[in-house]
Amino acid sequence: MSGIGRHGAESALIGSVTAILIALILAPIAIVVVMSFTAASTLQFPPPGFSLRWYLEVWHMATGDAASLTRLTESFRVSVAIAALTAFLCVLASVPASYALVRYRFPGRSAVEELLGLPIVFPAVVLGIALLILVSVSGIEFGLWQIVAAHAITFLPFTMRNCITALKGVDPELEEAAKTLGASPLRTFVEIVLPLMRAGIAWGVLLVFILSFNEFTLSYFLYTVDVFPLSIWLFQQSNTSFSPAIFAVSALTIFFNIGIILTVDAIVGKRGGAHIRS
Amino acid sequence: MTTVGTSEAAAAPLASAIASPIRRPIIWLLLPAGLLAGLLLVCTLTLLRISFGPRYAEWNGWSLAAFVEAFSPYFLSIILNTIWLALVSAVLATVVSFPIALFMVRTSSRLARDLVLICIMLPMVVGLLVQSFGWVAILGPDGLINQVAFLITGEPRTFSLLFNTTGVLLGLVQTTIPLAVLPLVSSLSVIPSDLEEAASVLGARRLQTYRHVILPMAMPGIAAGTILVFGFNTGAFVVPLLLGGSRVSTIAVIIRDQMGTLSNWPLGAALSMALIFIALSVQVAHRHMGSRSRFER
Amino acid sequence: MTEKDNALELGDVKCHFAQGKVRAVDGVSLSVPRGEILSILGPSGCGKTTLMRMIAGLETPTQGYIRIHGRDVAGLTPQQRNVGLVFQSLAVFPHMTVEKNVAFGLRMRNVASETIRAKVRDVLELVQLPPANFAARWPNELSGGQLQRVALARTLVTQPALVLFDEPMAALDRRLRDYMAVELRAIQKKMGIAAVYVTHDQQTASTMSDRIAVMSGGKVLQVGPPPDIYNAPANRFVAEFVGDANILTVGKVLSVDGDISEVEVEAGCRLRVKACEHLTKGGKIIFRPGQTQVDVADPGGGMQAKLVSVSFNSGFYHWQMELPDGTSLSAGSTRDYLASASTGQSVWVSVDPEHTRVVEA
Repeated sequence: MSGIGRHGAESALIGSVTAILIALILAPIAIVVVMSFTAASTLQFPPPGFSLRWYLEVWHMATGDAASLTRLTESFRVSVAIAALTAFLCVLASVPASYALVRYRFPGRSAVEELLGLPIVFPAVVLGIALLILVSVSGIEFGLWQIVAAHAITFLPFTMRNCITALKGVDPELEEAAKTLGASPLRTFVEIVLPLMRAGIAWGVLLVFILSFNEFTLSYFLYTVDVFPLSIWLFQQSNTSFSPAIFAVSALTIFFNIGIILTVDAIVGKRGGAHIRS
Repeated sequence: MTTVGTSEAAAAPLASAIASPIRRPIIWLLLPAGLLAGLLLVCTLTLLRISFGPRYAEWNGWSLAAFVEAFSPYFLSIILNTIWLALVSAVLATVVSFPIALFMVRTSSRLARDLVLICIMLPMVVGLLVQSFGWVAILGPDGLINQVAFLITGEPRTFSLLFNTTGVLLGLVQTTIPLAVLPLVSSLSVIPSDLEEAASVLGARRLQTYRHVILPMAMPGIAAGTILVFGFNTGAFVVPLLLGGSRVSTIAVIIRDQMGTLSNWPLGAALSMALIFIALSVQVAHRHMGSRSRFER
Repeated sequence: MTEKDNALELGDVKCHFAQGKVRAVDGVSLSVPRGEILSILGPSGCGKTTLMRMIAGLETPTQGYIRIHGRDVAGLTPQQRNVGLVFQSLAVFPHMTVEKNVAFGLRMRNVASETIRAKVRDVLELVQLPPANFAARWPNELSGGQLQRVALARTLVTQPALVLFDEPMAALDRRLRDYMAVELRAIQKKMGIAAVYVTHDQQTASTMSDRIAVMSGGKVLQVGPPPDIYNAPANRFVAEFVGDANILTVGKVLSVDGDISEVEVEAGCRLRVKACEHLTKGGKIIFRPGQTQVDVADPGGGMQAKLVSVSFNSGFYHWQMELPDGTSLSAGSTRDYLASASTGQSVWVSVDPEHTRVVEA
């Protein structure tokens, strides 16, 4: 019937519009990756030829004699440390909080839910500046913890949402079964609830790690001479010497992000899928 | 009679046993997350205090000068401009998201759906800093678009897209698309396909079906997504900083200026209050939309 | 002395929710001797699951006492009670193998791993899941019946003082359910553990239990061995819930002759019934279709009714009849007493007064 034909044309239209939009959305990332392979020493696009010379340059920046001067390796390490601590803090806070919100009914529950969702809309600039003021008023050296605290506050809702979804998928009868079999509440949590939430927690950790690793605004306000995250390094480089090496570093961070996603998917996706009944 | 006595005696300690230990674990469970959320409240209160203090004596005196200045014509125009940018980017993001969400809901291939999801999440996750180098290569005076235009018209540097409102808007839309797509997907996916079929059996043309069936039912998702993008972009800082040059100013950018180089803390704090106020309104509006869409399910 | 012999004793147990507006369990007193299986039978929402959860310690009674082997368990958490519970969902841990699932309770009791391994093997043999084939399997590789056995083995291996079953066979089909009911009873008798089996299925309850407690509206209506419940229901609800029943309302008592009295029922006909204290106007006369006789001619003392339908199923003829006022009656037999009758025709329905029972309205 003509109806079917029209439907086919319609889905073809939606499909191609989606494809074009996705291409546009990914264009800046794609160009960064393409430009990082340029053979030229200018930002000419399209590149006149392709080479790995800028990756080699980055390699020299990271390992060569000037490594301590460029601080590239150091910045990368700082960013990884901040991201790991942030993800750890977020999970540490989200797992028990999600348990309270999902398994208990108590007065003020919706207010708590509201409060824990607030950081999503809270302007990062305002948080960054307020923390900066608090830090300078306190006169204490917090090192990288001031960035970690800011990141943990901002990204808490992401792990919260993952943990809540994961916990809702754990049948409360499994916990009751463990208790009637002689498990204490803590043991029930460790042996039954946590393993079954594992996939949700892992994706939450991953998301927060990546968001924190790439975060710019909060780091911009809270970085110090000693704590110099990669995003700030890139920003300063782009202001001083705009060479294709920056594209190579940017492309490397993109590859790093994608690599982490694929690793987590391989670990959690396969092992989780085998055990959990659909 | 004796049995009644025993049963009441047994019931009494039970009743007291439930009241206390049920509350206590909840407080402990919420404590770590509460500390983080509490720090956010402390930040807000600190800025609130500063906003009511006189310049250079923020912690001692009280003054309304900062708020008077924040609503002076110059700063008001920046506030309104920020809201305008956020509004336009929210509408654009929603329009762009609609076909993508439709595709994600309708495709039968799980792989295609996951791939699209990853593609739209990527710009948000990677962050604008890295992408801004790509944007410069596309929009810049010698960027991709101008080179294509040069090939067609022979005129060099036809468009100036960087360091103005157009570039900022593009950046604002690109990085917030997932916020618009995800609520749309969840509200589109609950439209039963037989409803669409019923509409077409009843003689509705496809466009009419879209207008009278799909669009109204997707409305909670559209509203939720638009509100979320709007809220997110009122606080825009990186995008105007990197793509707007010094020509496009937003509230967040002037807060940085007032707090930093100009060291007018009360004014910066007062503008921060304005931003927090918008954020809270957005949260309330979003909650309202969320509960309505849940209700319709 | 008797208290000590009881595995479970409930005394006026109540559980009210929403400040007493919902009375899930409203004063239940029961006792289960050692080694017995008691079924708690009732429709959904009768409070049977709440009662069972209170025994396990997952719900707190508003009032009353629960004693397990003579010990009051008020204030004890589930893990302190040593009560096994087989859940309706079976609640087999999806992230553990069969062996790990069964070993869980022993592990929580800090039993030595050598002992655990031996006990797990024994109990898997007992529930007919040969350890060689099943120990290493994941729950998502098992059928419903096999999952059921895992849940049972996991509960039995800790040798609880009492086992509770929350309709664990509801998801199985009829044939498998009947088979499992017989087997479950055999295993329970072998282990000698007292059990409480909660169900809404009277056939399963009858097959596997020593006694049945019929529950409705949070109260226990009748407790007794399955034949007593069937043959001498305490009231109309029990009669109707446990098997099919013909029910007529007493209109007027005409005469009493020793044990037997003649009554006029509200439907208009006369019937001879066994006398009892409830034999007054409005009382309900109950008799089972299997003990109801039908004939094309009046055998004397019969009620005239219209034949509405005839069906034949698994060797039984089943007749549906209607009294002049519309009250329906049914009867069943292996012999086709009404071969010559056709639907719409008048037939005679009678019942031996010994097989009737009169209960309160």
